[in-house]
Order: sequence, then C-alpha cells, then structure tokens
Amino acid sequence: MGKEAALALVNNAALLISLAVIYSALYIRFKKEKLLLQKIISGLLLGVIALAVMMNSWELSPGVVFDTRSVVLSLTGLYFGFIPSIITVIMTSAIRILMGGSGAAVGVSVIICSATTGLLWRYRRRKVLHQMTLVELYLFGIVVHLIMLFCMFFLPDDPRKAFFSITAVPVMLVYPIATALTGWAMSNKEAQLKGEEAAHELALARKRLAAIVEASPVPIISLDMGYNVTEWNQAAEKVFGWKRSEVIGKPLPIVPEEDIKTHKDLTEKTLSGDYQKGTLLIRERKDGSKVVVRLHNATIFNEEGKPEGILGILEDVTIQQEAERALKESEMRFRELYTNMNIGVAIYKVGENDEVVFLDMNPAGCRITEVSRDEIVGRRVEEVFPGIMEIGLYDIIIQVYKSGLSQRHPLKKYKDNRIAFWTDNYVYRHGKDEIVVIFEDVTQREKTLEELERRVKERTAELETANKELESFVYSVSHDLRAPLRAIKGFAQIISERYSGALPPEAGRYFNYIISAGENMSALIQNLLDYSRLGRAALNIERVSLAQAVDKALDTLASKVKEERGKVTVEGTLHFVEADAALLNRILVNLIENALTYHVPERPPEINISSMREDGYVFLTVKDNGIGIDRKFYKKIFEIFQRLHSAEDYPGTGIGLAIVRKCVDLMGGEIFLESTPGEGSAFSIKLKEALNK
Amino acid sequence: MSAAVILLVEDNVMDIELTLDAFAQVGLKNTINVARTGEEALNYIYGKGKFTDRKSFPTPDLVLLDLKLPGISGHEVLSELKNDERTRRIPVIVLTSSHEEGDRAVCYNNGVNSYLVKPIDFGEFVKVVRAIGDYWLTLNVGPPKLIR
Repeated sequence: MGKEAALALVNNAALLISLAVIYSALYIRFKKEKLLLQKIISGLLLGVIALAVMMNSWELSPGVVFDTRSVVLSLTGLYFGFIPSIITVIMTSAIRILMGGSGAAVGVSVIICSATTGLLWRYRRRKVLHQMTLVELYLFGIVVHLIMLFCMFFLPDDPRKAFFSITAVPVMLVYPIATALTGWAMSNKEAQLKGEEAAHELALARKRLAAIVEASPVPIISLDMGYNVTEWNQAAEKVFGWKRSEVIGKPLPIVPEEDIKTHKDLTEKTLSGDYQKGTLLIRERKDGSKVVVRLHNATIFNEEGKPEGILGILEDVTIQQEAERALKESEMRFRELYTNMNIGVAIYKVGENDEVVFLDMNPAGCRITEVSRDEIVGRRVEEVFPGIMEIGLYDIIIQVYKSGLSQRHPLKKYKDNRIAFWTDNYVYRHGKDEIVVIFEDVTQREKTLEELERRVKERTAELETANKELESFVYSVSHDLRAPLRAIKGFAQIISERYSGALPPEAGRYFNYIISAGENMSALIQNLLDYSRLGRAALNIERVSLAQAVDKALDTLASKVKEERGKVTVEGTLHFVEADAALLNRILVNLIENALTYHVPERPPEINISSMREDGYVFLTVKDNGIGIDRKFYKKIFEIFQRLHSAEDYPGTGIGLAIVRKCVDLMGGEIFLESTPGEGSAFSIKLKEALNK
Repeated sequence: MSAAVILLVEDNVMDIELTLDAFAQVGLKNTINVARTGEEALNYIYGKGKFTDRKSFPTPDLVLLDLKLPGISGHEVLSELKNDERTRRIPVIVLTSSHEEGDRAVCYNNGVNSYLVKPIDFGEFVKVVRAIGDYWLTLNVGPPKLIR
C-alpha cells in the first residue's frame, strides 16, 4: 500500500511540475498599470492547475483524497501574493467541498493553511524571492507539509489511522521535494524576468543619461583610462569647435601645449579621488583661440568598482572672466583718477544725531586742506574743519543726507585758524549714509578774478575820463569852431550887403565865396556833431510805422523835392519795424536827400520807396533813377568823409551815408546797396519786424 | 516904463559887434551894456567894483548870457543869479552856439528864462534878435525890481 501511495503521489507531483513548467513558459508580463488584471489571471490559471492535480488525486479511503494542491497553494502564496492566492483558495475549496466525503473539512483546511504559509513566507522574505535557494524551498516544503500532517489529526478515526500508517511517510518524502522542484522552476523564471526588467531599466537609464548629456548646454567630456575621448557632447562641439567624430577615441585636443603636463597631473589626481570642483583652466579652441573654463570632474567606475575613465564638465566662463577683468580694470581706473586728480574728494559717513565722520579723503583733498588722511579718518568733520559751520557746508551735508538730492554749494571762502582758501563744493549722497563732497581750491582763480575786476574798473574809469574828454572836445568844436565861422560869415554878409556899391565887382564876388565857404563849413560841423552825438544818445527801440516815418521824412524834404522837381512814390503798404524813431528818421532823410541830390542832370529824380517782409525782418528799400555807384565803391561810400564827386557837381559833406550806416548799426540792422552806374541805386535797410499789438 | 537896460555878457569882440549891429538893424534903441567875463557880469549886476555907479551902470532888465566865458563860465553866472534872492527875478536869456543836451539841461535846471542858439547865418541871427526885441522887450512884462 505504501508503495502504491508513493507512486500515486509522485505521479501527481510530476503532473504538477510539468504544468508549472508550461505555465512558466506561457507566463505573460503585463505592464505595471495592469498588475491587478495580471494577478487575477495568474490566480485563475493557478486555480486551473490546482484543479488538474485534484482531478488526479489518489483516494486513500472514500472521501479522503491526496494530491499536490498543498504544493500549488503554498507556492501561489509564496510567489504570487494575496489576490491570486485568494482566487486559488476559493476555486480549490469549492471543488473539494463538491467532491465531498469525510475528508472535505480537513481538505479545505489544508488548502487554507498551505496558502497562508506561502503568504507568510513571502512577506518574511520580501523582494528577494528569486534568490531563494533549493534548500530553502525544500525547507519551505517541509514546513508546509508538517502543517498538513497536523491537519490530518482532525480526520475521522479510520482514515486518520490509515493515513498515518500508509500515506504519512510518502507524503513527507515526495511533497517537500515536489515543492522545492516546482518552486525552483518558478523562481528561475522569476529571476529571469527580474533580470530582463533590470536590463531594460538600465538601458532606459543609459538612454536618458545620454539625452541629458547631449542636451546639456555645458560641455561634457569623458575620457577612458588611456586618456582618449569617449564622450563629446554638442555643447563641447560648439564651445571648442571640434566635431564629435574628430575627437572620439583620440587624445583630448583642447589642452594647450604648455598645459599638457599639468593636465596629466590633474587627471591622475582625479583618478586618485581628488576631484576638481570649479578649477579655472585655459583651454584651446580648434581655431587656436583661448577659452576660460571652470572644470568639475569625477572618476567613472565599472560594475566591479574599478576606475573606467573620467567625466569632466567644462563650463565656458570666458565672457564672465572678461567682464570681471574689465570691471577690475575700470575700478582701477577710477581709483587712479581719485588718487591723481587735482580736485579734492572727501567721503563722510553720517551717523546717529547727524554726526558727520570722515571715511576717506583723496590726496588732492589732503593737499588743499593741509591734513594727512590718517589723522582725519574716523574724526568728526567739525573737529578737523571748525569753519565748516560758518560757510554753511555742514547744513548742506545734512540736507543732502536727508533728501538724497545733490547740491552745489556756491563759492565761499573757507577759513579757520589753520587754513584759508576759496572753494566751490558739490555734495551728493552715496548709498544710504555716505556723503561725498567734491571741492576745488579756487583761491588762485578768485585772486585772478579780483585782479581782473580791479583792472576792468581801472580801465572803465580811464575810458570814462577819455569819453568825458572827447565830449568836452566835441563841445569845444561845436562852440569854438562856430563862433569864428559866425564872425566870418556875418561880417562878409554885412559888407556884401551894406557896401556892395562901394566895392569893385570881384570883391563882391570874393565875399560871396567867403559866405558860401562858410555855409559849407557850417554844414560840415553840423554833420560832424550829429555823427559824434549818435553814439551817445540812448536808444529807444519801439514799434515804428515805416509809412509814418517816410511821411515825416518827406515833409522835412518837401522843399528839396520841389526844387529838384522830383517824384516820390511809396509802393504798397509799408510794414512796422522795431526801431528808434529818431535814428530811422535820420536814415530816411539822408537816403531820400541823396536820391534827390545825385540825379542825372536834366533827368528829374524819381524815387520809389517799398518794404518787404522775410523771416521776421523787414527790408526797406529806397530806389532812385540817379547816377548810380560803381560796384568798387559800395564799401567806401559808407565811410566818413568819403566823397565820389566834386563839390561843384554835387554838394555834400561826405558824412551822410556814414551817419546812415551808424544809425543802422546802432539798431542792430544791416544795409545793402544795389546799383547800376547811370541808371540808379537802391539802398535797402534790414530791421526787425515789429509784431502786431 | 523907461527903455529896458540890457546886459550882454560876451567875451568875443566880433560877436559883440555882430550882436550890436543886429540890434541896430532891428531898430532897438535900448541901452546895451557889455560885460566881457563872468566876473565882470556879476560885478555889474551887484554894482560892485567899477560898476558901483548905478547911474552909468543901471541894474539890467534883461541879461543876454553866453555860456563859454573865460574864468567864471556862463553856467556859473546863471546859477549865481538864480540862487540869489535879489537877482533871481531878472530874466536871463542864454545866447550860445551850443545845441548840446548837457548845456540845455543845466541851464533849465538853473532856471534860465530862455535858451537861444546863435545861428551861423547873419540874416538868421538878425531874425533871432528881432524876436528877442518883440517878445522880451515889448510883449513880456518884467518883474518888479529888487536891486536899485
């Protein structure tokens, strides 16, 4: 009987093992999110396997059957966990109850105990199930089946006796071995799956890492143990100009000639575990230009923990370095300026209670104020410069400190019992509580100015004296020259009138010459006085109507116009100008009088007066049909005493146009002349236009 | 009222002659006394020095004063006369060659009664003298005399 039982049990175990192998081969891996489905399917499949072995069970006595369901259920618990176990337990228990018999209750309890044992074992081992050895699996089988033996005590008397006498030994011999073998088959599969998964993960990680390296904006380079390049990302291509294909497998091309030795040392240091963390290095581009890089590196190890190469991250800091250098240079430049300039700079710190304390003073400042920097730094300003309150600079410093608005402190003379100098201050706030005062010693300038002012005063006084002398000279001329003239003319007139009959005819003629010469001289003196008086009278610029001014001038000249049988036309409406009415009148009288005088004999003078506006100015033109002026005399005729004709042909003093020009000059105007000899002249004066009121 | 006495203050002989000639031409018969300097003019008016005899040198009813005089100038004479209670009422006509603004201003400030510029032309000068005669010696009613 024992032999038969053993054979039946081995038979059943073999069926189980073959089913387990088939199951393993068909095993489908699911994606993580479908894990529950996978568990349910596993549970069902294992349930089917359990049913298969139960269908081939060996009957010890009616209603008491033995098969390898204990193996299936324990391994399900061990390898597949809770959900598949529950499914398998439900399926097998249902079948056992349907099969009925006296062993049904014990059968179901064996089912539950086996599954529970598997589950407990699983949670004790946790994740390293595939590392379970055959021995451990066998031990597991023995534990499961010892529990089964224990359950057998609850069988009815007969079958219990039969079991312990016939089946107990074969069960304990066969089932643990079956458990170990089936479990081993399954665990091998599990291990294989885990391995695949790990390889997959590793490949994925490698891919991810490669993408990161490639996308990195910072050059990443790796070297093998022969210092040949094994990795060269896009950023490295961009920064160093070498293509990946040009450098892979070759020595690093970016180390400058002179750094080859230090590079080697550096590499060795890295391999010995001393990594670079931001070392500044100079490297070379393909075109030979230099790049400043910040190097971070580390050794790469293989699975066995042996160094395999070096990974370097090289940050291009050329621009930052350049900017830093420029900043340093700029800072140097300003410091030199501060030290060498000729203008004083004092820096103060304003503390509590508006206490103003020296932080620094530049050499020029020390020179001007005759202090040494060391003895003033940290001291209060009023201690060093007691006169600072008096000139108001202290108040300004406080004002600037409070408002933050820069201020110019006007020229003042600083004075205390140690020093005195003229100074000009500019005060501004730096940051929150620093005040900078820029000051210049302008003593020399002030002295020069004073001297200049004194000289100007002196000269002005001299000029005033000279002017007075000139005035008195003019006064003398007006009086002293006229008095004898009056006598000459007066007596000549009396003689020629009163005694004409008693004189020979030529004497009468000669007296007439005396009278006429006297008249000329009188006109000359009058014009000369007028000319010299022009500059002395005060200007009275106002809005003047040219029309009215022309009318007035024509009134003055009415008799002359009549005498010369002249014709004067005023063209259009004349404009308004900014002028001194008296000067304008003089200009007009002189110009019109000239036009009347200098006419071609037998051709009565025709005079045209017009005005024109342009860009805020008015051009007044007096045009005649007279004898005209040669171009070469245009300039000359405005000079005093300049005459172009003899007194016999055209009377005149040679002062008229000089007066006109002076009048125009005094009013800030200009005078122009256009003339054709024999045809006529046109004099234009340009004056500011008067705006409408 | 007896014919007014005129004091002509003028240093230039020729101007004196011309003035007297012009007065004659115009037909004025007034007594014209002549002072040749400022000092003489003041002495005459105050009856000092050689002019103490009021019969020969009566107080003038009108003074014709040239500005440019040797020594004491015409301006000073005018100022003296117009600042003195006794003489301030005597009409003083400045007869000068100067048209200068400065001269005119000073004279009017000092209270001159008239300011005439001597024309260079003798015919014109005669006209001026005639006007003096017509206005100052005929139309104008003089002040009550203070100095006798």
